[in-house]
Amino acid sequence: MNVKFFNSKEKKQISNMLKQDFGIEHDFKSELILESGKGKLWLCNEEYRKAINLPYRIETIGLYFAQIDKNGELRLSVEGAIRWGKDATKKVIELDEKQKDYWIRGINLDYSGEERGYIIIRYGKDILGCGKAFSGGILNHVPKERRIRNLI
Amino acid sequence: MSRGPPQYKEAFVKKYENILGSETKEFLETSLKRLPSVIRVNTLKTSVDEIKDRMESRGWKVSKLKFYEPALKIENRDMALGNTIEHFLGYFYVQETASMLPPIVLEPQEDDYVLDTSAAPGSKTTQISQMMENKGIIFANEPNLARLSALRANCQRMGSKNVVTTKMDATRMKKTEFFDKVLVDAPCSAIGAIRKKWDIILQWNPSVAQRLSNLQRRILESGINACKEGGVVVYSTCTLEPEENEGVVDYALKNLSVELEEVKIKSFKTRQGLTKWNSKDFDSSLKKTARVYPQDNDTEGFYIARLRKI
Repeated sequence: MNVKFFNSKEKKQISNMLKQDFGIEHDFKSELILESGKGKLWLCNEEYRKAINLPYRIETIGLYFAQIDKNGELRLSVEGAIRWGKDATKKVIELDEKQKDYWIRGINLDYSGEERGYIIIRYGKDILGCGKAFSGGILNHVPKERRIRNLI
Repeated sequence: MSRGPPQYKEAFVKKYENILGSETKEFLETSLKRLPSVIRVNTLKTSVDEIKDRMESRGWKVSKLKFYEPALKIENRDMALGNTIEHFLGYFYVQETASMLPPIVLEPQEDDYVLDTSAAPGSKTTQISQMMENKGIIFANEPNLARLSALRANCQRMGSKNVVTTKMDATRMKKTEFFDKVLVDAPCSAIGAIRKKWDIILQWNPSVAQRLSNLQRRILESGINACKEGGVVVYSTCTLEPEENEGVVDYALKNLSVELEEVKIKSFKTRQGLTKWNSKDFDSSLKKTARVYPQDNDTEGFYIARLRKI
């Protein structure tokens, strides 16, 4: 796995993006941020450094939590959103039950609100992921393998 | 029309009569019964009581299992557990009761470095991750690409940030002597899992166990080589075949620097490992290993050994 380890300055930039975009405060202390292809960001414990030279064929390191998109914006993964979404103070959209059922099936939502760009999706106490709001709708970013197809 | 279970082969019945004597009938009958639905609550994300309440609010009957706090038995459900929003959110993992035992016996600590040699689909890896409070590091290995994808997806869904996945032949891992704890949950003939898949009865033949035991010895040896001196290696299978269990551990005791420690699991019935099979005497310390029979706790069958590297 080809990865780049973020230095403290780059980690601080991700912290700032979380704060600026969603009002989330997280400093990544004792954590590593690694970037793999296509701007994907992974979160792992600092202890990994000690294991870095093991002669093993690595596939993934830690938790995929976000991606820097082509516009340089931070798009949280489902797990990134679940991990910090409860602390978000802005750009959170609350769904009703019908919308929630659509969301976990991977369906885009109708939307007439004012938020734009990446938003955190909430249903009651649960954070369901991250979507992208535009005029008239919200793009669903739930990965295919995670969607529930046979929702009753 | 639903198909009934296949007939046990005569040689299979005779083999288990040699192990279980008068209890064979109960073993064979229980092995054909459906398993109860059991989940492991992901305490990295939620609490046992929260999930119990949410499941009960659907009208389902939920009971705690005494041997392990995050384990819940679910009855009277009207939908597949995998179709619930709680599953989507990674609040629980559908995991058979006995398969929760090897991580319990491994006793991972928060700052440990752990290796799981045969990790897919990830039930035990994510359980270890949870037991370590998402701290330390777990190397979770799987050589098969499709199974590796399932492992990665499950580690992601459960929110495990302490898991590093690797793709290697588990028999050929380098002698690193690095890890504090190693889990070798070896591929096996799965006799303990007949309750999940009746076809295992048809697949069984007397030579399968012997053939698999060669692979299992090599994986266990590889796992022991990756473990540091003084570290712990847990060997487990979901089969009850002596050749794949006591036979493999006996080989390790005779050829590698390990000794056995007693497997103890509170509020769960286990039986001592065999010290003799087919006129062959095993090391007497094999009685410290544990056999889990389906009829004893209404679970799959399992075998677990805890080895200390010396």
